[in-house]
Amino acid sequence: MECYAVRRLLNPYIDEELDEKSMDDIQAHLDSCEDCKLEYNELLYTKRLLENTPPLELPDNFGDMLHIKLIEGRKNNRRKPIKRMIAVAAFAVASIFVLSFGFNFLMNSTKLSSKAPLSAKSAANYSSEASTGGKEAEPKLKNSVYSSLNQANRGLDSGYERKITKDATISIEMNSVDEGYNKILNISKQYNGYIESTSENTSESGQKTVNIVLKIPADDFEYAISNIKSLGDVKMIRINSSDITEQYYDVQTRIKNLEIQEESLQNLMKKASNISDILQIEDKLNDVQTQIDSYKSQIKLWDSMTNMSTINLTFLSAVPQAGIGKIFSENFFKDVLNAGTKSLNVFFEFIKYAIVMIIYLLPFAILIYLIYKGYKLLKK
Amino acid sequence: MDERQLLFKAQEGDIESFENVIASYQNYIYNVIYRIVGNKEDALDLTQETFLKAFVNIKKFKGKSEFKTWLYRIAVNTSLDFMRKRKGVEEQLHDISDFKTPEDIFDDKMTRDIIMSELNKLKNDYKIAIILRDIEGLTYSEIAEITNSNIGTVKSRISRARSALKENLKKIPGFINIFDERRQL
Repeated sequence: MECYAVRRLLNPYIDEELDEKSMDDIQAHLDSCEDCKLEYNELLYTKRLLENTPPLELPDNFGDMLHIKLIEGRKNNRRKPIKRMIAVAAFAVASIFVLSFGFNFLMNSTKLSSKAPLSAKSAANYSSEASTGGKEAEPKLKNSVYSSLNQANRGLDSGYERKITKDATISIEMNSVDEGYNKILNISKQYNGYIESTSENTSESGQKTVNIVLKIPADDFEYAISNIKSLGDVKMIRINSSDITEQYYDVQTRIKNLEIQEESLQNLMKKASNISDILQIEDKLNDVQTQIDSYKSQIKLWDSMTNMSTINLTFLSAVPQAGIGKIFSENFFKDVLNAGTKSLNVFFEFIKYAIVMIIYLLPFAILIYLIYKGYKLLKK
Repeated sequence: MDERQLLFKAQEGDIESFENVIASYQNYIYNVIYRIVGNKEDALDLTQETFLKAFVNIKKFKGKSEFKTWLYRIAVNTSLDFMRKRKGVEEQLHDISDFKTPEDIFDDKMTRDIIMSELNKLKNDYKIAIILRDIEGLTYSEIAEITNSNIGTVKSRISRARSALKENLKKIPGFINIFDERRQL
């Protein structure tokens, strides 16, 4: 056997982990080779050193210390199955939640896409509501309705423009009414509007009131409103808008029909030869033309209404503060009572929302708690 | 009661039976852990941890291997976990050889310290293999089972570990002489 092969097997040889033949071969080699013998002895000596390291003894109280730990361990261990069940349950609940959310989301998106073709119909319902129902909706909300209407256009072809009239009534209290009036002039200039009428009166108590009817291009209606709102203390505001598209185009088609009628009447007129016919036709033609005129003026009115919005403004000058004696009138107690009930209302409202919020968040809180617990358990 | 009966009772949660079973292994386990981690306090904690783990998980012991081997396995894994956590926290390996005089080396305690410090210089896998083989006297196949590796790996680990240990010990001034002296005895 070669030295290098023997060296490789020396350690297993020392450990007697070789087959019999190899053991014999190596022993034979070691008997004849001084170098390998030296290596063998050094390794064997190292092994003996390790073997002879005196073992440590555990401290006497080890048994007691361990005993305590084992009891604790058993306690924890017995509780563990329940904990594990909780963890599993938490995981199940979590996955159900996630799945239901995912499902919901999926359903919503498919619903949306399947609903799209129907939107024309639903929009039609919407519009009838809008024209008959309460119209005090905020401009913003209205706008969203408009946009959906615009998209659907209720089956009318897209060339039709929606006809919407907007008007607002605002009353504002401010210190200097005259200054307010000047500001309104500026606003009307800024938005290319005009003041249709103004009136001013002063009450006995010295309160000045200015009424202004302001016309503002429909597109800038909302901006003008927000500008005006910032002028002073808004006491009252009401914004109306109504959709007159249907009536508008109805009238337009009527005009068209009448115009056709007019044309055919005129043709008849040319052909007519006897007087009574001519008179009859003329009579009819007059009728048609008056109708056309009246419809056209209606259209004109509507056009101006939809192009320019009306804002009815009332400026009130702030009431000059009365003497101290007046402050503590019966109004004072009313105010105090009002304040009390108001704040109570706010308080209960808050409580209500808090409870609703808590109920709303409860499943999530439980879920998070369970996941946390489960995570801790798994980590253990 | 023999070990199997005691283990059966221990699996049902009987602490005393468990304690009876481990009584004969306690010191072995403690020593293995001590050699691996290199200090008594940690070794004591880890020994407790090992037995606690063994007790808590005793139902997982199916009797496929010897109980002792199973305990060793837990001890080795626990120690390795500990070493991994400790790594980086402290990298203190006091080098004893720097201030040794040849006379000191005859001192048994010194010899033990040197061996410990040299063991600590080995890679964990090598160290564990050589500890289990030479200090604990386990067979290659037992070591393979404990360290969850095959016999070939164990063989090469022990071989390399012992050779490296030998070379390192020879480098220590004075130690080589003892080698030579003792060899002739």
